[in-house]
Amino acid sequence: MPAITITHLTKRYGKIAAVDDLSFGVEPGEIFGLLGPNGSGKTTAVNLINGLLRRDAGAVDVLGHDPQTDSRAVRSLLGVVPQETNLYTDLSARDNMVHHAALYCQDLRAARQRMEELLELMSLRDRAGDPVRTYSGGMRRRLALARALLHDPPAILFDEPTQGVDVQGTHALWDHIRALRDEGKTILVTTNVMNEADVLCDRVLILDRGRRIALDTPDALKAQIEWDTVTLQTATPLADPAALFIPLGVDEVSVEPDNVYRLRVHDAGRVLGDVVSAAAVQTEVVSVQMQRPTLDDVFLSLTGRALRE
Amino acid sequence: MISIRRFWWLLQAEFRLTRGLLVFHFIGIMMPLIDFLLLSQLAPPVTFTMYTATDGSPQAARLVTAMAALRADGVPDGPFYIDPQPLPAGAQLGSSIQDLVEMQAQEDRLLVTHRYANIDSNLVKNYRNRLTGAALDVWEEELGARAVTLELEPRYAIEPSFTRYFTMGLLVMAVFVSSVFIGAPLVAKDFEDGTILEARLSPVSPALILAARLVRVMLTSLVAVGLAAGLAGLYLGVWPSDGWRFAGLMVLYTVITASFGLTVGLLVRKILPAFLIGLVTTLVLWLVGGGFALPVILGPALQVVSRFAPTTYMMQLLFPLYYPGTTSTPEALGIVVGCAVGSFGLLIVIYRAVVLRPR
Repeated sequence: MPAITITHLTKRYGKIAAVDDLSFGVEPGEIFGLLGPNGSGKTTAVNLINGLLRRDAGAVDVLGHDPQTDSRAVRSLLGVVPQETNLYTDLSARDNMVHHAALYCQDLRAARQRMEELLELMSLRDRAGDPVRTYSGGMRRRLALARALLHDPPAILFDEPTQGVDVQGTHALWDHIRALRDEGKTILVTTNVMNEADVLCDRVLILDRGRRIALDTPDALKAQIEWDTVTLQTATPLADPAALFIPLGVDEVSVEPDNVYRLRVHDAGRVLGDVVSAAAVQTEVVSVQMQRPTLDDVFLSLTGRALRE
Repeated sequence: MISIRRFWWLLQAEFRLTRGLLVFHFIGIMMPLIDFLLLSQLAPPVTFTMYTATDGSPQAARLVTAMAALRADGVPDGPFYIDPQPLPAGAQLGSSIQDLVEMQAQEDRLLVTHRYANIDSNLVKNYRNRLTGAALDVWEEELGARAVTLELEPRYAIEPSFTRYFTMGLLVMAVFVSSVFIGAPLVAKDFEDGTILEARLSPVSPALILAARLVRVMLTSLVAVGLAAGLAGLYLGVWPSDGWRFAGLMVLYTVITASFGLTVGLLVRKILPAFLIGLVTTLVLWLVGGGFALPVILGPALQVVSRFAPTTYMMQLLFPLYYPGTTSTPEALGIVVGCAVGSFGLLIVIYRAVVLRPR
């Protein structure tokens, strides 16, 4: 039985549906991703789950409770790491945790010990007494995560967890999220970064304009795409690139600035050598790159737009 | 039991948050003191020091004695009006001494010359009225049956010494200003910084969260009013007759003022506008509620409005503490208690609507 169940969920702002007839379930112990461009309804969906927003239609069930009618139970069962870290920046990490404990924890004595464990786990203990305003973006994210875990919630909502975090910090956060999944926590992550959804999530729901357009594991979603992409850059422009490459088995050729050619092909490995040889006859080949389908390609194939547009 | 422990944690957490608004807290506590010092310059001092230069005659000595015995408000327990001091050796009018009363016994009279270096005519008249008051007392003793006794009959039931009234009104304002200065920005900052989300998603009862926040603002306001009351006592010699009753009333009143400050913050949600709106409302309530002068001198329309201002009833409750012999009505206490309960209840209702209600 899913830990979080969303059924025909709809939220409208005037005539615009921010979330439109959305249904999905998040299983216990999985990392579930909501992937979509900005404005696709990800944060609205999260806020409908945590009870900050009132739905217009549909149903939400969080571990057996409806956030609209049983909000306190839902709040005690959820940990939320919002898009903005909303920390008290003048206070230390420890003071932020104490404040959170007072607002969320049932066992206040145990919270003190857990607080220190979490600060240690997030590598923040050495700086736990410093004001949060002196922290980097990654440290703030880790603190927000530690804070959300303080009351040991069985389900955690992450709204764009790695936004504004450097590469090293991103990987550290992913490791923490995976560790939580391995502990059996139910995790819902929203993101507009395809790589994050691909690498981190067990299943991904792709949202566009509030509607579900696909739901599956990242591998299964990418398997729907039957072509690879070859990106070729030459020293000088090629004469009639379509006539040059299509007879070699390339399905589609798009020309981009700086003599860059993006080729869509069913099996890149099979034609790559021929493509490079054909181009080299006319000019010097500066670089060549072969790319397997990404979730961005999935989004493109389903909506006709790239994820970042 | 769990709630008490939770409340204690919440209170500790609240006081930790003080670090984020240290400047506001400092100003909130000190502002009533600064207001007091500034405004007290507007009120004339109760006792005037008058420098005297006498010829050593018995007539001059009698007048100096009468000057020293003169009481404010013409009542036996009123504060002394004149502090006659002999002119220090070498001192001259116009330097540190603005007024000098010279006394010279003549054959048939005592000639008293009031020399002054002040250019403020009202102040000079004030000096002369006091001096005349002392002279009248001397004459009255001598005239016997020919004496004319002038009695004052106040228009109002209470003819307050303005210094006492000023102190009372200022303390009432001090609590309000302090609560608004600290309470309104406290909540508004949470909205501006997004930290209100912590409370929005908390499973803890909003009444408990607000109670902790209320106590934090109340304690700060009580420190502010305690300092202001101490300053009034030391600077003006005006103390409440019953310190415990005064403290109890102030605790009750801070429930109203702290709730008001937090409510303004909840409704306005921006630090500066919240502070300004709170301050203007405070000033209006203070004036309408008789903080500056008795409501009875207000026009009929404002008198009606004053009945809805808690300040009115708080001033009534403080009267017996600053004017012994007067009484306040049980209704006033009932209304202030009702306002305290009602304002906290209203705060919870608004908090639920503004913070917790899903949109």
